[in-house]
Amino acid sequence: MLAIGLGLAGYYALVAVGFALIFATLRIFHIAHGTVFISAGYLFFVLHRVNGLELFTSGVISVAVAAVLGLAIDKLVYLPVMRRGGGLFSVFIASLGVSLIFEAGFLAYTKGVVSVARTDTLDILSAGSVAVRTLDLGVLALVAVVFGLLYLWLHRTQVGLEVRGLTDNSPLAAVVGVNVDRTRNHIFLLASALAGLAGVLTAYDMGINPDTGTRTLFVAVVAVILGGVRNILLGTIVGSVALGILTAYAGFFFPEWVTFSVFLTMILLILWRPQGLFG
Amino acid sequence: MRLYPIRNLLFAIASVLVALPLALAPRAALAQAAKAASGEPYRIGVTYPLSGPQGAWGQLLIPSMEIAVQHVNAAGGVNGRPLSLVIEDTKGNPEGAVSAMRKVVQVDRVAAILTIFTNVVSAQMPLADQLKVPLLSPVEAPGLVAKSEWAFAHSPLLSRTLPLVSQRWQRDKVKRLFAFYPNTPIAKVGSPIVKAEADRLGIQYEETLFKLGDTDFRGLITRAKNFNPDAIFIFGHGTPDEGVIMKQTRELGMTTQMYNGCACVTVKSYREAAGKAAEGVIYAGFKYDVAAAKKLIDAYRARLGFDPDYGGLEVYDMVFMIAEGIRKYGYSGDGIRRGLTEIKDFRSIGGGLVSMDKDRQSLVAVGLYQVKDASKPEFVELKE
Repeated sequence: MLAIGLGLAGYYALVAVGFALIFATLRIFHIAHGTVFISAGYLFFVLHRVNGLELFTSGVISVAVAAVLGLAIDKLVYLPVMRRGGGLFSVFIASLGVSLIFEAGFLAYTKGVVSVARTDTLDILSAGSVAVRTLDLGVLALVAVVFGLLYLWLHRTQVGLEVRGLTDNSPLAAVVGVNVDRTRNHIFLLASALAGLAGVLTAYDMGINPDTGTRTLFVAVVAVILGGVRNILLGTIVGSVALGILTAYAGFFFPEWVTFSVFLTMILLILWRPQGLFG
Repeated sequence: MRLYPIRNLLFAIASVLVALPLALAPRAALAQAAKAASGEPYRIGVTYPLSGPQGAWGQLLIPSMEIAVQHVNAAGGVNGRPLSLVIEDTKGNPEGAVSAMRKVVQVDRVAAILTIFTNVVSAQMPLADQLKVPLLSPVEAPGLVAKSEWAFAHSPLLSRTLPLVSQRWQRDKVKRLFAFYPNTPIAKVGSPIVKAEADRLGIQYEETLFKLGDTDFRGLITRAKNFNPDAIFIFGHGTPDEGVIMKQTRELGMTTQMYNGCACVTVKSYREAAGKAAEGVIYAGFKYDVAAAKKLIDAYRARLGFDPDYGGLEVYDMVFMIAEGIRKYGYSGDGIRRGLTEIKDFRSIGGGLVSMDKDRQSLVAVGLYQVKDASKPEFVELKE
């Protein structure tokens, strides 16, 4: 179960870190992040499974389209809402609307049938009674590389410095010359690409339904709340691992109560430590 | 630039040459059909989901009905008149079911209805009693159609398929059995029957419910793994979720023989979800003799590009059953109902013989099969 939990944690971490980046810097509760995730998953399914395009190429195209989709949502929905005087709550409602529109579209397209982007069976490594899927090991390695690169990006680049500045004090960062528009574009592109990567991997691994994006996002949000948004990388990793293990064990002991266990954790955490573990 | 007019002219000529035979072919076929069957068609209502989560079933099964109608008409129709289908979307829910039924009966004046799904049929049965229109469906809920003398079912019940599977359990000396059911009313139907059979055979039994729409079943499969079963039994609605369970079972290192309580694994989306994990699965279900069903398979494949599943065979049969009722007793609700009630030794397109029991549930030929190749697909009947 631990191996399953860590595998899930990888997906949660990829979604959570993007959500946390957007929320911590721009204060946008980006529900449509789940839409970006699932759009990449379905595009990957269509390219690779339906049209037989090569695995890696399909994945790269899907991640790239996800990045552009995330940016487009910001440019075409969030920014116009804010320019017309809409506050963050209006943006949240708009984000929810985008999410529901895409979900309805995918439901109409798939008729709610699960879409799995592979027909082959994954290789497993066995040691006694323990069996670990090679894909889980691959995902964990990929997540480690991604977080390593994110660390370098945040701490060794000018844009990373600006992102951290926005996280610490958004109004002040703008006053001292942070190019907010450019940083905002970078954040949406990067966060959406990571969500797209998680969507591609999920479509390849377990398969996706129209609501998989929303469900994954909710767990990722709880992971962010658990970890706290002040230390994005450490917070999301710890939160995602905790939620991955929690959902894996809940799926074993109380399969009907997985969602319940996630949200109970969130409520207890908010009561105990609203700022999160590292917030 | 000057070449464009010439190119356009050549393109137009080529288009006409290509399109002309295509345009004429259906007319020729229609003319032939009209020769075989003419006059006002006998209409059969089809209330199926065309949209919503279950909409895929309508898209998979209605082509089989349409092919059956073509075959009936090509063979001279019914008493010289053609059949036609009047299709309405139920969206797979009771409200849509009633609305669609009212439309086809009260507006289109059909005398019989092909329908599907327990919740839909349950909603339509009171209306069928009131309007005196027979319903024919592939529902598998035991005793459902016994509640209305206007409701009929053509499908193999678990009580008929399970004995074939349990013989296999005996042969393979199964001692521990783990079962998966979806968290829907079908579990209340399947679980007691399977558990009783396991008890009868002295097999230790454990079960779990899975949530339809989930994609990660590894927690439940780990539970199965800890039980250390000799056999895994899956019984549900034939949704791809079950195929995903098969796949994830193999990917958790379990090599346990898997059994399926229906022929769901013949469904394309199910096989695709399971992938290679479906190979070796043993299932009992509607008799599906590929040679007997060739004319349906060929026509269906030409239209959709893949083979019909067991449901396609069932609904193909149903069109012929209704046609037989009209032929014997005329085009009226009561006449068709009488014809359906008297079905005996009806030759199914799947190769078996079908009779209707006193509760209006068809007694169908069933077979035990093993999936040899999930991609072709290839299902081998196990004779022993």
